Amino acid sequence: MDLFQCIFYGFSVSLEPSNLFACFVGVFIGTLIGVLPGLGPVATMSILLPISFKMSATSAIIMMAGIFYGAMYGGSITSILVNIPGEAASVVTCLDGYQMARQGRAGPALGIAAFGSFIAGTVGVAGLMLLAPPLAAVALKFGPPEIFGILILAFTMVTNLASGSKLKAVAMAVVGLILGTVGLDPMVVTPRFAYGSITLMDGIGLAPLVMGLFGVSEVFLNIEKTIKQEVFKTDIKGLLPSKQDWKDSGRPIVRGGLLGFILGILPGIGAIIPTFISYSLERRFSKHPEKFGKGAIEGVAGPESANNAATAGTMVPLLTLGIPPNVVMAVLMGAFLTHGVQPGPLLMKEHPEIFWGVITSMYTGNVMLLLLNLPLIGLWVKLLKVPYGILFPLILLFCLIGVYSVAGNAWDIVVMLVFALVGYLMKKFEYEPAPLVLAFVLGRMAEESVRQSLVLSRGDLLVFFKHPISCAAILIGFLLIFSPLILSPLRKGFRRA
Amino acid sequence: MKRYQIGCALFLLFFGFFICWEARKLEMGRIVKPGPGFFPFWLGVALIIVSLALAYHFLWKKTDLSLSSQELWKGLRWEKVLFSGVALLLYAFFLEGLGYMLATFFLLFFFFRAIEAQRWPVVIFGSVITSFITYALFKLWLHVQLPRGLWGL
Repeated sequence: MDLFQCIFYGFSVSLEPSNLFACFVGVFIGTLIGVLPGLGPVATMSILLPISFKMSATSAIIMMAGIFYGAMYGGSITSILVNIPGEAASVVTCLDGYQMARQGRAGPALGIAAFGSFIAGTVGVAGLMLLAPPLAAVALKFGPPEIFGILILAFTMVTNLASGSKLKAVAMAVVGLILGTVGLDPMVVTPRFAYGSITLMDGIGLAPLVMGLFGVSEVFLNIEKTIKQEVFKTDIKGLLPSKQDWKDSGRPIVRGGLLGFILGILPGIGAIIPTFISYSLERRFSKHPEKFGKGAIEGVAGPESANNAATAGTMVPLLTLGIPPNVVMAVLMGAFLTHGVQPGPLLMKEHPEIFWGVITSMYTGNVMLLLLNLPLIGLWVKLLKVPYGILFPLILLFCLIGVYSVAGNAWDIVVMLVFALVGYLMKKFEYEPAPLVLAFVLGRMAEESVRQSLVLSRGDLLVFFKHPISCAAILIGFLLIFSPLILSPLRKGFRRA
Repeated sequence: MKRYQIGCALFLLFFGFFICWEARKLEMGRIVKPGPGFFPFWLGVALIIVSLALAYHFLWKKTDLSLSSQELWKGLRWEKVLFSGVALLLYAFFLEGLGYMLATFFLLFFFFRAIEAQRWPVVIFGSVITSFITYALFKLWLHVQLPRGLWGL
């Protein structure tokens, strides 16, 4: 099948009523949780993971992906109207979006965020369609040493791009890998660290771990402080941006879209970093940089486009290499695996309906979001006024239902609570949970690739350096880790000179 | 904060030693054919090294600790976290005995009244209606497995 045939085939799958409905549910829930601060796409996808068992694999993945990019749309609404980012990727939108709302231009801000997201989302999906097939073909030639090399690169990038201490991020990645070894050994089926517990024999579940670290711990952090949500009182009218708005936003949308997609592909970057880069880029390109932070529409258009295009970019390594580049994709990988589907280079051959169905559904989903969001903005604003005292028991209840329903085992709730406590303390002591979750998901693959490489090379520890791809990936990883150690004394030396 | 950070590094250090100790009990195998204990053992070693680096970093280097001037729980309502955690733990223990509807009603009643005090009609109707609607949605419509306890609820 050539590319066009594949795209038509993908649309024939994604436009099936059940998949269309799954896509609608995904983007609707995604927007909802994007609007509500405190519950991100990671926790929501984990909550819905058990419910997705009842669906076909294609519908389930379409729904999960919809939650991710839907959350990007929803996050902008809260940023613009409340000055609280509903989603981490919408932090930058607060700067100019809220200022626009204060100046009575909430409508155009919300409008350009929605249109920009749609256009950039489309750019991202087009990039995904073009890039995924050739990359998957290359990845088919990868053996265990190459996979291990790329995993090392992914880990180093994720830890290197962590917002806090890099050492802490490395420690969390190692803890994640250790937690991934709990349960049956993948090669000789020996129980490890289970201590006779049937719950642990199956390994630590992804859902209790993620919901504990991201969902419940976030609620704990919120209920101990008083949250005052004040929705900015303004008439939201004129959602369609004016000619001048379009003129100002056109280039930022295109730049943000391209930037978001390209950066989204790289491990560890996700949808947040491109928004910051896009904002500073637009400021630099602008003829009026002094307007930034005071309600410049380019400051909304660029970052909002970047975060939506990045969602498509992050799908590239997962669908083609089977390696999730960030924690959201790690949960999506969990959804693939629970449906017995291995994402990676063989996905396109073995499950073309999932591969092309999911990709084309992202386009359908972007259209839905545009049609949904503009008329429904009033509803989202009303939702923002629901007090947290009513919201948090519901969030906790959904976490409980999600965790229990995976295996009908109440001990999974206890496991979730343990990780909720760990997550709560981690955030207090400034340890990031994202490297832990990513390493946890990739742990099994990393262990298998190491052990298989050693068996195949008859115990040659240099095997990883004898294959060009793994060698290059490991060297880049090491450079990333040690570059600050080498560069900072050099910089100091130059300054002294 | 510095004291807490060193405490965290020491905890990770002990965790690393514990993993190495436990991994040694498993079959380590040889380098040509690594066993089940091989990967966890070396991960334990890696954690020991990283935690020592963390401890060194906090003990000997002038570190920029953003929370150093304020206490971690000062001015926060941490007791609400404690009560919520205990309530969730009790929910886990009584869920299968009481059944989903009843256990959820009690849990929501507690959250709506004790954690963020709502008005009584909100507490009562909120708990009853939410328990019922979620049961109908998840158990009856989506066929998600939820336990039936007393009176088959």
